[in-house]
Amino acid sequence: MSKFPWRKVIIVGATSGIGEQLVRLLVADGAQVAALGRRKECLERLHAELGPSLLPFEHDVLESDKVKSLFMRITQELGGLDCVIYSSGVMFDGRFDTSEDILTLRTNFEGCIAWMNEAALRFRGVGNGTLVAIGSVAGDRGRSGRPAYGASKAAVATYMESLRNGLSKQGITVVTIKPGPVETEMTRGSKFKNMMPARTAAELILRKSRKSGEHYLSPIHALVFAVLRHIPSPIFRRLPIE
Amino acid sequence: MNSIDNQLVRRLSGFGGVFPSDGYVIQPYGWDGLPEIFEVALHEGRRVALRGSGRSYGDAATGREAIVLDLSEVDKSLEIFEDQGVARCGPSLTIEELWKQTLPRGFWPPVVTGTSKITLGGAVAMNVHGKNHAQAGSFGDHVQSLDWISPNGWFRKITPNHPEFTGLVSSAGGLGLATSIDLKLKRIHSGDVEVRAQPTRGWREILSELDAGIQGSDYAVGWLNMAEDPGGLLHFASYCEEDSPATLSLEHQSLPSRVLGVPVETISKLLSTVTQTFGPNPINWAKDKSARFNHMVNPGSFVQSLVAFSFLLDYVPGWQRAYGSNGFVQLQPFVPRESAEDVFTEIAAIATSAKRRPYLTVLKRHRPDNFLLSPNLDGYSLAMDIPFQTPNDHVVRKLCEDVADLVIAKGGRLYPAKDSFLSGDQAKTMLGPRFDRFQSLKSTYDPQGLMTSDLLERWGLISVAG
Ligand SMILES: Cc1cc2nc3c(=O)[nH]c(=O)nc-3n(C[C@H](O)[C@H](O)[C@H](O)COP(=O)(O)OP(=O)(O)OC[C@H]3O[C@@H](n4cnc5c(N)ncnc54)[C@H](O)[C@@H]3O)c2cc1C
Ligand SMILES: NC(=O)c1ccc[n+]([C@@H]2O[C@H](COP(=O)([O-])OP(=O)(O)OC[C@H]3O[C@@H](n4cnc5c(N)ncnc54)[C@H](OP(=O)(O)O)[C@@H]3O)[C@@H](O)[C@H]2O)c1
Repeated sequence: MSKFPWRKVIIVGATSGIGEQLVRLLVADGAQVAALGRRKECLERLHAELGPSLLPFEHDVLESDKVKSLFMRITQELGGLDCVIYSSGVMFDGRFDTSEDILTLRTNFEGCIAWMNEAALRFRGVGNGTLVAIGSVAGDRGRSGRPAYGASKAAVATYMESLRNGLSKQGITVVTIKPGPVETEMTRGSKFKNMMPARTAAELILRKSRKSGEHYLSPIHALVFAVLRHIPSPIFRRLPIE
Repeated sequence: MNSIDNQLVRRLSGFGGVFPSDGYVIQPYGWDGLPEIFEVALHEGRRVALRGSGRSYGDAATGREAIVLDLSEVDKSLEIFEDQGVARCGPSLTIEELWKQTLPRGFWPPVVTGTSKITLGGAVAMNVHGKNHAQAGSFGDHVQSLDWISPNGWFRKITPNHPEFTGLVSSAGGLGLATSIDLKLKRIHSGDVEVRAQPTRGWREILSELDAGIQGSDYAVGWLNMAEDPGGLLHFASYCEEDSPATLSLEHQSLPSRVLGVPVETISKLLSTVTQTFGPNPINWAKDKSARFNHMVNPGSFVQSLVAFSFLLDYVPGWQRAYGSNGFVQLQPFVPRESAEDVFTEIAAIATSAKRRPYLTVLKRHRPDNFLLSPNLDGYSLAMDIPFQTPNDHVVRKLCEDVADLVIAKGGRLYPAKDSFLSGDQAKTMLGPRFDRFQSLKSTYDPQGLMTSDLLERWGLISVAG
């Protein structure tokens, strides 16, 4: 018996961190997974380790004009599609560096739109499918530390909410996951405390993705961020949250 | 059209609703556009599958990630040549649309299926049979000429003398598509048939009574209860011969909208409630008892309209929903006459031990023909409806595989219009030299191996002979 309902999955941003763990869990569950990312060596390592259930595709999400044809090629090779998970992301400390900020927006948001749009078009016709985007708790408020990162994740959340409002009545599950700090390459060397192991995060993401909606990975986060979202900005500004 | 797009993807399944697959569905608006569609498919590295009304039970009219041509609307043209008794039909025309035009002129389709909703393209592709197969042959036996288009171009006026005719009829979408079908019609004088019902029990008696009854009738069918002690009712029907123009009218043929005062739409819901709660036994029991009761009060024969006799299942729209939301398969093994009694006994035992007693079992007598993928042989078939109890019911899968092994070992065949499980190896053994012959026809009609379906893929009939 499989634990998760998806048999054919695309994971964008599958070469490390949360995405890689998602790949491992889904392959172990018997799914066929198309894994995407730029780092060829990581894809080759995963392929060698996980075998034919993993289909590796080198892809840079900044090349959003290539998504349509790649999407169609992948669905053909998978022989169908049940779920797309967008996990690609970059995070820089806020240094008012325009090229870094634009790169953040494009990687975290533009790529997400490109992949979700293709999947939405297909799933709408089929009347079934699951769209998952990895947002972040950082998108809930305008924090001082990484303005572009927070804004990109807020954009992802709003965009996915729109998809949810349009598509859930057509049988499509639309999920935004808002993790707190997770132990991955992205957070290596950072000062975050109590980071969640990537494996645990991935397991929770898959469990929660059965249901449409915005999901935090722990009940404490759900509670804390429900409050934080409603604190007026002048007060929020004084809190020790970067 | 110069490319395909994600928006075209639809989830399709056969009539049984199991094993759906997604394909790029295109409705062509005319035959002229087809070469371009084949070009696009070639260019995009996709295969092309065909779909008529989607009334095949299994995966014959679906194509995973293929371009699926929905042919249900493209050409419903009909020209009737009364002096020759021939109808020239577009392949999208359904049997229902055909008989409604021909009956008032005193003609009936020579072969009709249990539902009138199938297209004539689907009838050719599966070489369908009716309850008169033993007496009148299969659909292909009445086709006088076909126009055909394939990825290799147009082939016009292919007649039964043409050596490839037996491959195109029964080609299950693997060699291209019929664009026009000349069908010889049956001349009739009355729109009624005289039906004789006969209760029967035990395989030996059932089969010999069926054979005996066929001699003097135009149609013969058995409605059976597949128990260890099988039984049921045989129906023998004959065309009424006396001239009766009134019975040729559409009004005379219209099906009642209520049965015993209950609107037909409600019946499938009622059936559904009973079967979901109690399984097939109450339905089988009620069918058996009511048939016996009918026979007791009316032991002779009775007159029925052709439509009421032929399309019983069209009475109750959505009847198949009574089988539940997981869908169902219809298993239809064709078994040679000599081994039928033993094989049917064993099939009943397999179903009983799997605890999957079929809901409805229809027995027919068949005769052999040369149509390549047709299951037709000198023997009998049982069409058994078996619902899935879970979304991918492994017990039903095992049951169907076991039945297929048994049937093929005894020289029997499975009907592609109903199959969902046969493997490539089983199909190759079953078809014998016909398998290679079909593949070699591909080099004429489909040299690039473009035509597909999930069934043909599973049966290993996509590739072209080398
Ligand atoms: C309630 C019910 C009762 C039935 N009773 C009988 C019966 O008594 N006897 C019997 O033989 N069958 C019976 N069938 C099966 C049915 O008749 C066949 O499956 C038939 O082929 C369905 O036709 P369709 O138009 O729905 O075609 P589809 O199921 O959509 O397609 C069937 C095949 O035809 C091909 N095809 C479609 N159009 C064309 C074309 N223009 N040219 C070439 N290939 C084409 C497709 O590729 C596919 O392989 C029954 C089915 C149902 C649901
Ligand atoms: N870690 C956390 O604390 C945390 C918290 C909340 C949300 N998140 C979010 O979780 C997601 C996954 O991050 P992670 O923590 O697992 O970090 P990670 O290990 O750094 O993974 C990031 C992934 O994004 C891919 N990626 C980056 N740029 C790309 C590009 N241009 N094209 C294609 N893929 C690209 C990377 O693949 P390549 O480099 O091979 O291209 C890699 O697979 C991100 O969206 C992140 O924002 C993380």
